[in-house]
Amino acid sequence: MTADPVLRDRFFKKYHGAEIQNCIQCGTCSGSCPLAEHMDFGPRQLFAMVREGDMSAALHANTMWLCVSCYHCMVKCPRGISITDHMYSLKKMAVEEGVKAPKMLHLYLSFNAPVEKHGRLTDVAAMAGFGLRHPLAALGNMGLGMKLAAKNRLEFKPRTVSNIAGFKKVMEKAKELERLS
Amino acid sequence: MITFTLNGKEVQGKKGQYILQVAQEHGVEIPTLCYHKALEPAGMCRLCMVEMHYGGRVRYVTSCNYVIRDGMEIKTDTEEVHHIRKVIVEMMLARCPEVPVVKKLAQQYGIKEPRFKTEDDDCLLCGLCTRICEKMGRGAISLTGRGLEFKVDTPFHAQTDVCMACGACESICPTGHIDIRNITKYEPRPLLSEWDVGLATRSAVYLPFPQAVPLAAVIDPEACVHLRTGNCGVCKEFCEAGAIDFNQKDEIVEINAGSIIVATGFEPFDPTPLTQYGFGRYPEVYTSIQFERINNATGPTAGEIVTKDGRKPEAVAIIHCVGSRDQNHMKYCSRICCMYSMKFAHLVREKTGAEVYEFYIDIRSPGKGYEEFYNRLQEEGTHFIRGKVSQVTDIVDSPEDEGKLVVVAEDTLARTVRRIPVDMVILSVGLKPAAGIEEIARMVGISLDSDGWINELHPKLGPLATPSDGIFIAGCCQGPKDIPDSVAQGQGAAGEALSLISRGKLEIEAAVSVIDPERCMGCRQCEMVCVYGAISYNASLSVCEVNTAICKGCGNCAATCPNKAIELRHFNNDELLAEVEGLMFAPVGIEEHLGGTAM
Amino acid sequence: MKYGFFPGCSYKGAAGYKESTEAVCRSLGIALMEIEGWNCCGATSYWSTQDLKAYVLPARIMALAEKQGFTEIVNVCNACYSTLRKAHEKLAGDNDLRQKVNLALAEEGLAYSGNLKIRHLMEVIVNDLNADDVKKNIKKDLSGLVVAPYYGCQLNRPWADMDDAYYPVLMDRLIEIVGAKPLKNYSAKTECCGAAQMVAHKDFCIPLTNRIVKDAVSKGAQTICTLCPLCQLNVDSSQQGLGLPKIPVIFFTQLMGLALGLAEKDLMLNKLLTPFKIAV
Repeated sequence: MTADPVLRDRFFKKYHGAEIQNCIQCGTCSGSCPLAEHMDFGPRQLFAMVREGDMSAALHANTMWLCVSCYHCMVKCPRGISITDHMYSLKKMAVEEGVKAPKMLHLYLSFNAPVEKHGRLTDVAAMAGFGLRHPLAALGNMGLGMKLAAKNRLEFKPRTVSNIAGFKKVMEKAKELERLS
Repeated sequence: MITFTLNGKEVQGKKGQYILQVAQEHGVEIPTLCYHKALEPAGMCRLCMVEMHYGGRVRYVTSCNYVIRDGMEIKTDTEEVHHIRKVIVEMMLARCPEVPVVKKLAQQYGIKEPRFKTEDDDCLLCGLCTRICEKMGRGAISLTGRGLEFKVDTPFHAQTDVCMACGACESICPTGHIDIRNITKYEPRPLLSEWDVGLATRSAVYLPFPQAVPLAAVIDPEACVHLRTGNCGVCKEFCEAGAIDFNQKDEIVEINAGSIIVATGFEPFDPTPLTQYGFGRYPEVYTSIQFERINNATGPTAGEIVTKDGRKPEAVAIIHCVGSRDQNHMKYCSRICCMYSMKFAHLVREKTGAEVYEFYIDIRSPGKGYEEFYNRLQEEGTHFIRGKVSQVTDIVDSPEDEGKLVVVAEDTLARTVRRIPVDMVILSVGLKPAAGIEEIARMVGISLDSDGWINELHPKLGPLATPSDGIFIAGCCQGPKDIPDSVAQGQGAAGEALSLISRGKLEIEAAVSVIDPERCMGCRQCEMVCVYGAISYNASLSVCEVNTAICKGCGNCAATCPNKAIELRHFNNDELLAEVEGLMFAPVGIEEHLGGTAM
Repeated sequence: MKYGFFPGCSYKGAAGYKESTEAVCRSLGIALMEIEGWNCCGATSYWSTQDLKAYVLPARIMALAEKQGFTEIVNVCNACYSTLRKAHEKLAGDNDLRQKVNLALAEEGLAYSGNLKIRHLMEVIVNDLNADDVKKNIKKDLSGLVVAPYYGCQLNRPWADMDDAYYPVLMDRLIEIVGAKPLKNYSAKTECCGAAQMVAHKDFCIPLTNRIVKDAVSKGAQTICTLCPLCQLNVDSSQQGLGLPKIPVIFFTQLMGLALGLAEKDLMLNKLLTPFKIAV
């Protein structure tokens, strides 16, 4: 293991991750995680690695990308650590560090794109974007798509926020402010 | 007195007594299902039939409601009597073939199959329930109908609010026919035994626990029908010592004492809020105190470790740190749970041979022989899994989970999440300060720490004493501790108290507060700020007074007094002001003189 | 009663959620006033990829609600609810963050004060309505219907102030109020359905929905009742081809609609993938 104190400190300070130093390694988080068995490391172990600066291994792990945001770990953590929030931070750091994008990142991006453009999302728009990158996964969902279409539950036309110009200005400003910080 | 012959022996009874009563007094057994000492006999079951010779005639009468007469001769053991009883039992068996008490009687009388047409009733129509209901002053149920329709019922066959859900009918019924929920409009509340932590029931008059001091029964006034309604009073008729006194009231006893030892102990953490462990939801999840009762020879299972449905467990999980070391509940380590959990593991293994899984965060065994005990448990094959349990569930993932509770935890050392099916889960609940400790602390003038335990005088040098002279502490009121430590502290506190007595004198502070009664307005602000409880209000003089035996001379009161009525001996206001003045106008270099830390 | 209503993006396409919600609110006199100009809340996707925008999206919705004079926002989706709750809590407790967010919102002449109450429709119905008033409107006897209350994972997390985070009982109460039988001891009531992971990692998530379905079916439920479009979609759709006994997954508003005797066009049960064939 090579320690990377600079990256670790970025997680501690910019991403408010220093509280993981309070972790007593009890494993409540991994035990309550619905997808822990598919993770390279459970959250407990991931935090043990991060706090010792093993950032490269941590950021390459699939752990945070498999987080379902159920917050079960967070409500039960005996040390009150905001585990789910740290998973979000580690995803963002992995992207910053140029880690090869996993499937879930592509799903997020195809979710975000129509939101940025129209302010609202349709399932069709998100799935179309994701399907282009992951045709196999998309194919697995084709059957469901057909069924939903048959029940007239799919919206093919994008839905746009009424004041789309204002919405875009707000988002533009948010982006600018984020760049500044 | 009335003299008659019972099975060939001359016996005596009081006027108005029934044959059965006198027979019981003389140890002659007569079978009966409908007789109850506290109720008027009704002769319903007819099992108590005896042979009576009187006035030259032989008759067969029900002994429970037949009044004794001079010169009568009673035989309870003749062939004819047995024959009659046998026929009665046979009829009962035909009516209620599945009722245990009837089956047992049938066996005694050698009846296999009744000759009569069998039904599937479970009511013998003994009338005990209706008679006891009368005794409770209610009459919510009665025997209604005629002939074949004769049965126990409520008016209009509907749940009634006449019934107060006392449960007397259900508990007196010999066959289990009565279900109070069909009778009452109210929610029946079973009286759960506090001593057996809800694992068993108790009656409204009960012995608190087998070693209670004093070893005397108590009445639960909330549940006692007599205290609530003036009816019942059955216990009084049963108590041969005549010890039942319904007029007893709580008393406040005042004792003058030179010292007080506070030993209020702890109470176990209630794991109900930890919903992920399913306590109260899954019957096979127990707290450690409940397990102690199950394991105890005088407990509800007579010491046999079995599930509620009577199975011997094949696998048992013990979950450490329930409520302890958890910011959401108690942030401290409760100190004793690791060791008692291992004791449980040892007992379960020894008594049942079950696989035992200890789920722990850290094993804390700092005591003489404790680590060795841990090692012994390892040798016994206990599974030690380092991981806090995240949930206990009955969700079935694989066939072996069927009918089990699945304990889910990360095995942090093997770095894998495990789902282990078990038959019984024991929650090693932590310790918290006993309820009411704040009130006691306020009363004796001592303080509590942020977790609610009593602050000792000094963490290292004054573990038994408190800032208030003569107030000592012992045991868990000061913080979680095990039995050896509690005993040591208790003996120490007793020693401290005894040494005060044997000296016969007290050394008190010289620098104490004095209140000038001329200036005191009786506003009682000083009383509120005194942490030692040394100030009390004299209502007749409308002034506050200092108990100089307790005062420590801290000066809080003097500083608070709005009328400057309080002065501290040896530190009066003039002296203090002069000192301050001296410091303010001190020559340069005074810091050095004072050790460099002043001002 | 008037509430600012945030439908969220998946409300319209969810199987009869919109129709049944509207019909039930109409018949109980709950005025849900749609927040004009609302946008997507961003949900997990924005929390996972953006710092400030993740707050700006929900803050814009809340600012619009305030501007339109609402004091409470009612959600019908667990993810929307949890996202708005989270943004609300963080913005209320972090002045710097709130200032930054308001700087962005100012571009559109908006600002969020942090004083809204964020709520879920199910909780509004149980807590704000008088149960006896609801009972008066019940037209159909559902006493034979055993309903598994499936809350989903996010509803009450991580704050757990509406109800218990692991074993809530609010919807159980609602089911009782409308006269049906809540499934007792439904241990899977807050197990996660896999959420968006179902799209990318279906093989990992099928065992999760399987748990939810199996626990309900094996304990004797006839239908599962949900509060969130994504929960409903995942639990309903994943049954197709599981080879297990199927169980219809309906919205709580559809269950209420059944009890209130509403017409099929108001309930749209025909939009479910696993058909609801129970005669009530």
